[in-house]
Amino acid sequence: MKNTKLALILLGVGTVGFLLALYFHLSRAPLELYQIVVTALVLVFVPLSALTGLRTLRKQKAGEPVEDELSRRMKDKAASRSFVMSLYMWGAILLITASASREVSLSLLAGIGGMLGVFLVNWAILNKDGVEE
Amino acid sequence: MKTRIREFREGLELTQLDLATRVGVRRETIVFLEKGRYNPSLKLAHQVARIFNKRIEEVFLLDETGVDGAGP
Repeated sequence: MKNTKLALILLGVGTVGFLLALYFHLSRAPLELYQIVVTALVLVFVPLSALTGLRTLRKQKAGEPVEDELSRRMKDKAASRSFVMSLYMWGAILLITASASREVSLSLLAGIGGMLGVFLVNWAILNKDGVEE
Repeated sequence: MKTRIREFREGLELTQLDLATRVGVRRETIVFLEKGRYNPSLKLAHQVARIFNKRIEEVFLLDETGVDGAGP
């Protein structure tokens, strides 16, 4: 099972690396800005994910817990901060694009409204069920 | 929150990994606890105190000023 997971991680990284190399090989025109951004994101997130996966496997092999209350609390805190920050970011994008396109603004407003709706539903559930940790 | 985990752990000749395994957390969590950078749940505090055969308030020392810098 662990060997299968290791093989999957290596296969994933290999596939992404191969596709990226193939893409660069085949594209003749100079890269546009969004292509550079996407490439940079892939080059950051894929190795990071692979390293996280390998670390998790190593811990599992050593019989250590992969997750505990501290790691869960850190994830919760990071998620809540990210949520608030993303609301501000989407708000700023909404202000920037407001004059350009009404449709884009409405989509952004729907997204922001959706985020707030999901937040309220989760808040209500937590108020009803309580928090264990 | 200050703790005496390191003192008690070394008294029992336990490594951080030993203690982590006994209470079912990662070694990193023990490191955070010993440095006073994490306020554990009541359940974990109980488990740690039980390993040392001490009361919780002997292991975890509440800062009297109420400023511990590692709140939830």
